[in-house]
Amino acid sequence: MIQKTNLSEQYLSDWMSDQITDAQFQSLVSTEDFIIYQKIKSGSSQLQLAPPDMEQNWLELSQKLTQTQKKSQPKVPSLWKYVGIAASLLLLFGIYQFFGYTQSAIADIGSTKSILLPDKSVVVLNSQSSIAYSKMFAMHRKIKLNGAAYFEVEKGKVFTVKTAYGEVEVLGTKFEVVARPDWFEVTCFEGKVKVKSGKNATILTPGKKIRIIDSQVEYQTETIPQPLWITGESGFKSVPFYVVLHALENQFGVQIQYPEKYKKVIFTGSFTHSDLDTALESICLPVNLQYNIKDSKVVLSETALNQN
Amino acid sequence: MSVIYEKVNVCADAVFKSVYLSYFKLLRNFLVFKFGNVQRAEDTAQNAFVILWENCQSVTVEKAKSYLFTTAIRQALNQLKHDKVVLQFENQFQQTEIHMESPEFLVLEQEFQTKLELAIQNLPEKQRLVFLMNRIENHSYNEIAAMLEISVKAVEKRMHQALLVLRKEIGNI
Repeated sequence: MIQKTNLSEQYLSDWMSDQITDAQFQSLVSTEDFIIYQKIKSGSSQLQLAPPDMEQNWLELSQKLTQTQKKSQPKVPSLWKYVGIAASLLLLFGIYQFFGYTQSAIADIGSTKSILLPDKSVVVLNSQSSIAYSKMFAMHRKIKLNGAAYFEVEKGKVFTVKTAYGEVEVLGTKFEVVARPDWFEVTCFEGKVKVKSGKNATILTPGKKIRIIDSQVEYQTETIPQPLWITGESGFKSVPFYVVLHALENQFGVQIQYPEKYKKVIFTGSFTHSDLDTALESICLPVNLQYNIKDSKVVLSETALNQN
Repeated sequence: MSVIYEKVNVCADAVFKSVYLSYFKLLRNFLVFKFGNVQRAEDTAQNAFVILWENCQSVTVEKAKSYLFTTAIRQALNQLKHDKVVLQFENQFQQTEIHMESPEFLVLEQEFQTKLELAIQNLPEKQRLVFLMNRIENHSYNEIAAMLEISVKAVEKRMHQALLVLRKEIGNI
């Protein structure tokens, strides 16, 4: 039958394409093979493929096309797409439930509020202040603060207080954070407190205080063992007068009008939380102002003594 | 019918029809050589056009040809192996040529031709494709190599193998 030769594996294709002559080819295969290969060659050259019936095929194709739709046309979105969306929403909701700031506490005007956090840390909120934390707080001690609060943190993982100004990080300590719209202050009473604001970070030791007012950073010392307001008083040490007045407004829920030139007067002193009259008296006396209360409005004006 | 707007997608009816008229025969013949079965080839070719229609937004006229061939080949791979049906070549020329021969010769020739067609039918797909592209469409080995994106050497080897297999299948007369 087929003669294996030492020649290249393509003499048949060479002969088929007339690259070698019949005579050359004949010398490579037996006579019988040669005859049959010749028949294959001539027989296959007679093969004809009838052209397709273009009309008939077009009809059949059109038939199939009516059953399909262009992908661009609106189609019924697959169920999986909706399941996918639903699952991701559910997942996001779940994450939010666990890690979002879903738990919150607010201290109203004129009151303070003590909160026991899941990790046994204590927060005392000053008037008009709020905190928010997640359900997973015990694992992830991060708390958002708006306003002023005093913290007594249990030892454990890093405890972070987030404010609009920056973050305060501690391990276990007692400290106070004030994050009012015009005033940021962190005071360390025990342990160590790390204050991060923007790119700057500072570590406070007990009795140290950092204050940022109008982007001005000040460092001060504090001798009292805990914020005065915890015991029903607000104390200030060398702060602009308007900060004191804002604190007073927050404490009693009043609006205070005062002469513009007193805004930046440096004030040291305190006011009580128990009584508006006494509080106003204690801050007006040192700077020689008099006060007038009309409903929830307080007008501060210069005394006759001052005008002369 | 020639296609002019190469960058246009094939969604418009007129464009789609012109793509059909340009490439259907080419694709169908290629698939006939591949499958050795006209019915299956035409069916697969039609399906390739259906898929082209479905995705017409993303296929431009200049990409249509290669899209059709790629789709058809992929479809063919997905299809289950159909039972092979005898080739349906119409040997018009053969009939006129052998008209003058003696009845006995005619019968013998007929017999050989049938045997040959069956043997071609049974060739491995790659060998049949090369063999028929050369024998029916008279493409040179170079052209076939370019179309199938393989080397000329590989085409020659497949041709050689195809002939060895055919010789073996046909046996002695």
